[in-house]
Amino acid sequence: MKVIEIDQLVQKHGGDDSALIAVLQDIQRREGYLPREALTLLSEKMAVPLSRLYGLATFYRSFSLTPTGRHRVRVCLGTACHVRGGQAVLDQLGRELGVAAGGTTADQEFTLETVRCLGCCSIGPVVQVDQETFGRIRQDKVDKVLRKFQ
Amino acid sequence: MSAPSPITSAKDLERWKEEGLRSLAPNTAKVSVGMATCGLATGAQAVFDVLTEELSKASSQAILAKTSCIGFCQMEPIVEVYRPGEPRVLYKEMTAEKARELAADILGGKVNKKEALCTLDGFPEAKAGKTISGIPRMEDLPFYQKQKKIVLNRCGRIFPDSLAEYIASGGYFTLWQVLNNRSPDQIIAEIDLSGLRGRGGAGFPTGRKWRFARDAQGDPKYIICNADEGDPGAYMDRSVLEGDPFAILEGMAIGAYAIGASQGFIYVRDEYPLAIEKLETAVAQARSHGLLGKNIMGKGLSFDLRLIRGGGAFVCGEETALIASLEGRPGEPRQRPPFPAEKGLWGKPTVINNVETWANVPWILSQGADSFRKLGTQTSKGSKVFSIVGKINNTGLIEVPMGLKLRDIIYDIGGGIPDDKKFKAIQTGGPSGGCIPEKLLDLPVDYESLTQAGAIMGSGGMIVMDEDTCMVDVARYFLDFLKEESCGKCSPCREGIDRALEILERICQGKGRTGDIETLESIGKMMKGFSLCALGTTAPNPVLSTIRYFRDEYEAHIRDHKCPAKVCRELIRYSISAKNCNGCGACVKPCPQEAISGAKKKVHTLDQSLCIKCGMCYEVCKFDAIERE
Amino acid sequence: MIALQMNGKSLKVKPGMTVLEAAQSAGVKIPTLCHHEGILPYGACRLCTVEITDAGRTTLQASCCYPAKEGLQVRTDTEAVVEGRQLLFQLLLARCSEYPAIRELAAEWGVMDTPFSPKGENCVLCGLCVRACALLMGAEAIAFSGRGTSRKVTTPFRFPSEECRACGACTFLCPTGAIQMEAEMVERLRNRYGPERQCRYTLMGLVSGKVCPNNYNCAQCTFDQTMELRFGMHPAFAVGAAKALAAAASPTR
Repeated sequence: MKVIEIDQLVQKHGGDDSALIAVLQDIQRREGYLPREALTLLSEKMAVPLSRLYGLATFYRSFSLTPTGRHRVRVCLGTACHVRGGQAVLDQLGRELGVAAGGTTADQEFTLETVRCLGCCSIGPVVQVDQETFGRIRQDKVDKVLRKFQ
Repeated sequence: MSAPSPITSAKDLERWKEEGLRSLAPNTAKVSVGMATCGLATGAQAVFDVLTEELSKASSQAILAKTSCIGFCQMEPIVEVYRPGEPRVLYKEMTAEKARELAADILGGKVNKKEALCTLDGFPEAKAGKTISGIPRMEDLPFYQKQKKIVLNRCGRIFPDSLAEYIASGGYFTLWQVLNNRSPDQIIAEIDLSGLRGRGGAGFPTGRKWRFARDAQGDPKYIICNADEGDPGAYMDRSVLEGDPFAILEGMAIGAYAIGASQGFIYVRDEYPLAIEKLETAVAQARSHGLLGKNIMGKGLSFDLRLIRGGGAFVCGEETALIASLEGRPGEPRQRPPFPAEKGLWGKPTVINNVETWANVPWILSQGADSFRKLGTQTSKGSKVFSIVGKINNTGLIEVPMGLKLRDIIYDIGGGIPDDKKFKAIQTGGPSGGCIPEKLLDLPVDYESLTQAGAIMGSGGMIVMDEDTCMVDVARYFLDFLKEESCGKCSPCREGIDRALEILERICQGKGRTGDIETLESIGKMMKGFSLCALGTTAPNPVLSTIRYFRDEYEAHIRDHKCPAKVCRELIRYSISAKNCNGCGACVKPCPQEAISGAKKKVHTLDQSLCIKCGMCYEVCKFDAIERE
Repeated sequence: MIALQMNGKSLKVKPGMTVLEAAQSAGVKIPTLCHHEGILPYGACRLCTVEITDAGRTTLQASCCYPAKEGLQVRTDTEAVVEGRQLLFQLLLARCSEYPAIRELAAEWGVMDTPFSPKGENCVLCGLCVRACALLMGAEAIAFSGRGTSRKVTTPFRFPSEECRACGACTFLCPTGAIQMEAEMVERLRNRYGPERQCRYTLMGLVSGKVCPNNYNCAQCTFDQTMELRFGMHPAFAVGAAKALAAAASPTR
């Protein structure tokens, strides 16, 4: 990212420390992760130590320090989905994609993540791919969902 | 009426109210589709698109609108049809095809009784007192019968983006009355008298918290709405934010007036994009019309707020961690005292309250503390929103008076356990809560009763579990969750959860040892006393409550290496029943280990040495030929 | 003076003290790990937990953070306190299984072994190094990263730090000897040339313009000895005061 883009983000969110996480979220959304260079620029722009930004980037789940896949596959492991078999759905997705939860496929197409409660408990187990939510997923239906995005 | 123009008189409010009534109860047919997150997840967009298409074809005057979640999530997508002078009809489980038929019915003036869920009456217009034979009234449906809606009253009934509809259903009249006629001290006294207790889980008396903040030294003072709803299975706050966002804004403005704050924040969980969108729309309108910002309603109160998205950390639901997050730091809790009401954000007096707490404020001040006190029990006044999910027939969100029995919630409202399975436990309070067994189902739902039983009220999530749920696995599940979410600052929580999880995983793998239960109890006891924040002090609750009520299951795992509920993978065994297997081969391909083999139409065999107990064969077999023991 | 009860005995202490300080002033021993009198308390290790009755309400609290108030009743020896403390020592012992410091502290309190499997960590996450770097030096060269069991003390991206002054406060304060920032930074300073080879105390802002004559063999350096003697404890504790003086002298900064 360029200096001017960082400047714009800082301006947009109001320049004080309570805007830090919001600025990082915008960078994450734009770049798909938090590049070290962007954090260094931000550190200079907002006069916040780089160690603090690194701390934020590694503490909060919204952020990734490495690029994520084109499609984010999120399996809900909320309690209601868990008692309805969410773990089995996650395991099957892991097998289909060949990655563990948190990982990205080698072709950078899919990142597999878990999330605790999307609030769609009436249709659990639930899988969300990008903005689409799929309900009543069983582990033998998982490949159909993935095929929509391949 | 969308050009910026401040609302500064009773007459202004009346004009808005009339516009809102015309919108809610027009003189033509109106169709509202429930399009909150649960509706959208089940296909409400397709329903809406079909209705748009069909209703615009004929030259009908029918209006199509969007609404939010009406609480009966099991029945989503839900569509409401309004006809002037007729009871409103709610249709359930809509699909694109059914929507096409519904459109034809609407244009033809027909009511489809088969697809109808219920009729509703009297909101916000006066009750017409009419019914339609063959369709139950909403208040007669078991799901709704025992509910008392305060916070959820407008959800699913109005278009959440519409300020006019909010005002028409009573909104902002309270703020007007408060700013004109009541002093901050009177407000605090009324909230105190009502007995309102924090709805986020801690249950601290709200009036008392406001009093501390009002009396504290420091300027500016801050108001925060904690919308970082993180308990898995709880989505009450999300529904309120998606369905009735103005209620939060009005509640917070009243709070700001009461304690003398000029700045506020709504801290919303990052995973709630629709809630954030609805709040942004509401805030923009509130600002345009003088309901937020300088000189609110022309009465001198200046209060504005910022919407902040959480970074993805359950611990930020804890108030001091939330404050740290607002200060641009990792969400590490801080030692209390001092409490936030005294020294909170940036060291200034800060009131943090949960979404549901704020949503109760306008109602209490408009209907009076006594009306609130009439509901509930001696120590827990008012109503509470709960989510009932899991192994229950009627999944959804309910609002009931405190003190209702758990049994009533599960069987009357919830419709009991699906598939004729046996009830086992109800888990309340999320990862800070506990599991309540069958023998305690006559407990009233209030703060003290649930705490004494080893659970907590928490934010209101209620997960129903049946005979197929393993209670040791449930304890393991919650610790697994908490291990991910612990901030790691204090050693009791960080090390304690890690070691307790280690023990539970061993137990679930059949490697439990004598003394494990006692060690879990010691770790739990220490964590309850020594941890820095409520995440750590309540983390032992799921383990301790399951040991208390389901010790036999722990012992079966440890002593007998058996999982009675047949959940823990290393302790179960799948095999093919020679009696039932007809050799269809449906289980062969899905098996990730290629462990099943057999000739067509002949009994197949499962190679145990390859089996990883994933259960795929069990799920695909249509002939009950896979046995699990 | 504030009057309170410490293990059943009356005690009078100066206002502004914490319960821990009050106990220490009366010779009552309470274990600590993340506490240091030169830095604001943090409340992370929780070893200093005691039972406190405050206005009729009895709870367990970390004494390092709890303000001493009139009428408090403090017990450092109840069953819940002693048992919890033992278990916490066992957990810490298992975490830092390879290094003697925690073993010695635990042994002082009667905990000789642990039922939990060893993790082989050396850092106990007390945060003294991080707090010193931020609060004493104002450098924030190191900070916590990650959360939960993956919480660590590191430099950003684990890269060599641009901010470190080699002041050595982190090494001085570390209870287990886990942090090596001072040694690493000294190595990097040795690779610098000419006038860039500034004395550590110049980097810290305590003296101006001094170049190192000694190849950063600070332990054998007479200047280093002088600075340590002058302050009585680690010079890093003087930096904050020096900065405050400088700020007062130039108010337009």
